[in-house]
Amino acid sequence: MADRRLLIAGGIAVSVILCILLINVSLSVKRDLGNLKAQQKEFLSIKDEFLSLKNRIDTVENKKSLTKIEGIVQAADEVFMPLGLKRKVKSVKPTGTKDLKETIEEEAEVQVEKVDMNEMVNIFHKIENSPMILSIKKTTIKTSFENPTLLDITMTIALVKPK
Amino acid sequence: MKRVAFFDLKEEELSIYILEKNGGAYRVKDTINNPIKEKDFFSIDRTFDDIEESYLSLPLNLLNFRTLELPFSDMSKVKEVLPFELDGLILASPDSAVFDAHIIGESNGKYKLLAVYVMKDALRKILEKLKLLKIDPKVVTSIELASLIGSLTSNEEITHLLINPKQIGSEDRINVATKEIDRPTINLRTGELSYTIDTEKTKKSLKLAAILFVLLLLVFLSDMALNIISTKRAISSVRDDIRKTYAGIFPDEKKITNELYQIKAHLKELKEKERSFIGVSPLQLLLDLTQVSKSGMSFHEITIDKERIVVKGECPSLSDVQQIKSSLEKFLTQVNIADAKPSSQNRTLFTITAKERKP
Repeated sequence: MADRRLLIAGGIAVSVILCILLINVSLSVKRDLGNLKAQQKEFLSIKDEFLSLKNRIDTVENKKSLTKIEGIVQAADEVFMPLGLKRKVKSVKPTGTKDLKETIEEEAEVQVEKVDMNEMVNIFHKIENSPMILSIKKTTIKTSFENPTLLDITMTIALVKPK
Repeated sequence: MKRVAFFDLKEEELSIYILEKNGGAYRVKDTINNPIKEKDFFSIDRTFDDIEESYLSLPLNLLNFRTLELPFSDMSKVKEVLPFELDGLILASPDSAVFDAHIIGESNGKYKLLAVYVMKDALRKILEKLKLLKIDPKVVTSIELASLIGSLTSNEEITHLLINPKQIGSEDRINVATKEIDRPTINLRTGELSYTIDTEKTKKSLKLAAILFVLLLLVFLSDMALNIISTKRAISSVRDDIRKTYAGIFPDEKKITNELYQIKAHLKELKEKERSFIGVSPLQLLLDLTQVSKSGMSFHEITIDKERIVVKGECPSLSDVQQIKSSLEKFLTQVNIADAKPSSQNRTLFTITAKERKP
């Protein structure tokens, strides 16, 4: 009788331990799955951001080999000369050079005075679609003090060229 | 309604009282009288399937009696010492009989007991015959003894009454029977002839409950195990998905340990590249501003860089400034009115800042 009782007690103890173990394992794997799903969600959102950014950068990077440009001043000239706005460019001041991994970045501050709306749009369009890696870092557009229908533009442009 | 059968065994007859308990009191529903035949004294046509409990009363001639004096009245103690006290007082061995006792009086701190016993073989035979009728009496008592004890006036009378018992009428027998159901004077179903059906029933119920519990436990554990397996499969599937997507983006990368961490590192690298490769787009912002502009409003100065957009201008009223801000919020983030003040021409000058274009 005592043996039987011991056996029953042992059985109950083993069952309880097994239950606790299984509940623990179950909770742990469910937590893991929850964490993994959250990671997957984050991963997918980063993936989308990565692909969109990569696409944009690839488009720009493809311009590398299109034109051979020596420096930022020549790049500015390439933008304004075809538009016939060379005389409206008040100044082009190179502000510095940054040495990147595989490229060199040259920056310059360009001041353009008394351009009309159409000319301004042409300038920005030309810069954005130039056959070189030329970007606008900062720009300020102001109405001209002398003639409020015209605009003064101050912009910082950057040229990225291979080393 | 509880139905009880009381088997009243007399010297030459067996009476069965079918009683029904209604509101605490028993009522006689039926009485069956059967003369006892030599060989089979329980030849009864009636079935007892509707009976919940049964009781048996033995006639005095089947019972044996001894009187004893003990210094205590606790019946459990009395029952313990009874076989030893009777050893030597009865002809047969105490092992061959079943006993019970009833206190019939007290004097000088000593209790006078009437020890009642019946030979096991005799009782067993009766019980077996009742068993054929599917009857297992809960209590074996004696209506005659109960009536006799009930009518006792002095301690000394008992022997005389046992030798010359008074005849009891049928109605009185039934009355005593109903009293015996609630509070039996003696119960000879003790020892190896004890009533075990209730205990057996409880044991069976407990066994059934235990089996059901074990089954439930098994179902629970199986469910848990299946859950764990399916969750682990789901984890593996999600891992595979992430791995496949990552391998699709970076086919040349062979060492993959943590996809999320690695893609974050790639994104960081790409953002550094973006800083030098891609600048701001004034054309896009100008296009957006055309949607905001309305009559009477003009922009004087627009500054755009990677971190901030500043728009300065003038409009007819302060509420127009609020409207412009709301319109700008459709395509810019963190739009704030930095300044709004009246001009000398009775117009409102404003400065609005924003963080960047919404993706």
